[in-house]
Amino acid sequence: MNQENALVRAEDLTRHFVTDLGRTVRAVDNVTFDVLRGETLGLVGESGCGKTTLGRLLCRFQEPTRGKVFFDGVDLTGLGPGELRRFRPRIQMIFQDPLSSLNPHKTAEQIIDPPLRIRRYGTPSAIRDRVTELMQLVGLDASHAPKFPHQFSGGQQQRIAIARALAAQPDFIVADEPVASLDVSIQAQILSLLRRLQKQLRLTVLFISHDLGVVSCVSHRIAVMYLGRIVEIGPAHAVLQRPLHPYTRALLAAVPQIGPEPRSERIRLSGDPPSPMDVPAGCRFHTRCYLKLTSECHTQEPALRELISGHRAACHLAEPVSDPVRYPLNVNGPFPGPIS
Amino acid sequence: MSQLLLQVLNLQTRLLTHRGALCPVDGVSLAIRRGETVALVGESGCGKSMTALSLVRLVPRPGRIVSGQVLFDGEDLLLKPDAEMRRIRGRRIGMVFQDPLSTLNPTLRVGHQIEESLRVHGVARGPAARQRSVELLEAMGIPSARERLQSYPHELSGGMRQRVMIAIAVSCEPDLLIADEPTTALDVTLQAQIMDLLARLKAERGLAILLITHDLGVVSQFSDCVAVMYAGQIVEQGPTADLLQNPRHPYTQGLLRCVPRLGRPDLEILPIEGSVPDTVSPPPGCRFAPRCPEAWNRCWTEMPALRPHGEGRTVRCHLYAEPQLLAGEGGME
Repeated sequence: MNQENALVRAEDLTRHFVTDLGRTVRAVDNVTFDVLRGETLGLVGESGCGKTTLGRLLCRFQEPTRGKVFFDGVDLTGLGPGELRRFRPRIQMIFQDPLSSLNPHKTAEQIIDPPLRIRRYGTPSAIRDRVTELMQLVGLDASHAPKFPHQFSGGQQQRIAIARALAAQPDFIVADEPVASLDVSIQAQILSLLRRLQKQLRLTVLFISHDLGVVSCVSHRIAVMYLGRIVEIGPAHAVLQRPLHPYTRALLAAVPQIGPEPRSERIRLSGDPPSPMDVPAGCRFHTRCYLKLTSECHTQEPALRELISGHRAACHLAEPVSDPVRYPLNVNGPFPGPIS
Repeated sequence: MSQLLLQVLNLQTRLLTHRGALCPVDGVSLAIRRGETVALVGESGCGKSMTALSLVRLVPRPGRIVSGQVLFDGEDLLLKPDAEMRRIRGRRIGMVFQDPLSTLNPTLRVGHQIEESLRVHGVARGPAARQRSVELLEAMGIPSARERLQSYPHELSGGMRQRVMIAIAVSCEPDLLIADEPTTALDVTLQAQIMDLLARLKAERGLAILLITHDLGVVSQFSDCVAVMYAGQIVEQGPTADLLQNPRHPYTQGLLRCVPRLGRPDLEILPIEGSVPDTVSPPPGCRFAPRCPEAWNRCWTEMPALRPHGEGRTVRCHLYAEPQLLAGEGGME
């Protein structure tokens, strides 16, 4: 992968936690990937697969057990607190539950302006103007600046959280399940907002979600995680329409579709995902895999292999597929305005 | 109409809050035939869960059912004495809720909880109840069922707990299962397993299911009929495939446009602007008018009624009030 193009690079990134009983939880295990400049990389996986931990590691909200995180060519893991502070404004996060990530005692304005004040953005009136600008940018009425978080609806609260993240003028945003707690109609509003902002401000975004549908409508590329590892990564249309890893195929087949046409594949995984405290030997997915397993699957952990240009999967049995992609994605295409 | 199992007529539930009376269920009418799955779909706060609780008279205080009829097998449940109602719940109407961890008793083994329902309803007791519990868990696809009966709820995974809940709900072979967001707390691969299980129970036992969900994909794959709720009212109703193919109400149309379609990434998502109205002081006209792209004068002043429109379909919208004004059946688009 082109080093120049990567804004964020995770190298062999690993984070293990030790429980009270002395057992090791392998939340993130030897993960290597890039987030390219100006792209939205969707990170999907089921609960407990380590996607949130991975997002936090990239922001260095959490120290890795092993491995490195490069941001704009600089190794963040080697930096002390002072040096790290220079990078903080450039990396921002948006969380799942907006109400718990906003201070209930502060008004919208007081929540959005600290990044500006800390950066010495300008005079108090310049800061106030900038807050107004940011609120308008995320689709909030600036006259609501003196209101408290609980006076806003869930969607509006998430807009405040986004405005706060943007106040620092970041290059990179980690959005961790930003729409999971919202209803579909509000979810669609926030998704189209994030898409517009990403394009308008040329942001690089890691978009974490358990929902493939949501990920599909914001991502340029998609990474699929299973039990602490990335099992597949590639262009969004390729991952969604000709997935290479059996887990990705099962995940796609499990999402109930609207409409009369039946699913293209009917795959049902049996049982629950194994615990990250008890990762199976060999391929992590082999205990739930429905393909004809080989002895290699039981003993050898598969590495991510590039099977088609830019599309990689960690499976011994995966083969390149050359079916044509049925529907081209239009993440980059024109985005019609909302129903007003 | 002999196969009609449940008929809800004009049900209204009121909730007294410090801000005034709230109407989470405002004149809901529904019909469920034997062996049929009816989905009640809507966003949070639209009253779908409150409707389910009202049907079995479990509305939490200070909520109160103020009017309507719930005819179950021809008898009005709202007129039954409490003791008889207790015999109906669990015996003839089973229930599954969203979060199994909060509905199962954490201090009792799951075997005890399944047997309890069999015992209370006089279906089986002692070793017979134990044997039946094992069979139930096996039918739910739980491996080594006999050992699992000894587990406490916290020792089971989310998917397992939901299977136990379903086992309890169907233990007395009810006619109707009310499933309130049964898979919302689960991952997609587990959701698929649980929904397949419900579909199998329906096929094998002729169980009627009232499926409450916010997920239109689940509605499309697993229901026969659907009712769309908005702000306490049903706004559109009909056979699932037809309704999702040709949605009539602007809210249903908007809802379908804002769901990301996995199979069709070329389709844009279009949000519905604004948010759900306050049901303490709803707008005087149509409740959807403030967010409706097609609202006209009448929508702001007069509440539309739920009227038949097309084969088995009803819609609550002024756009369909005078069919002669519209160019043919199907109306818009």
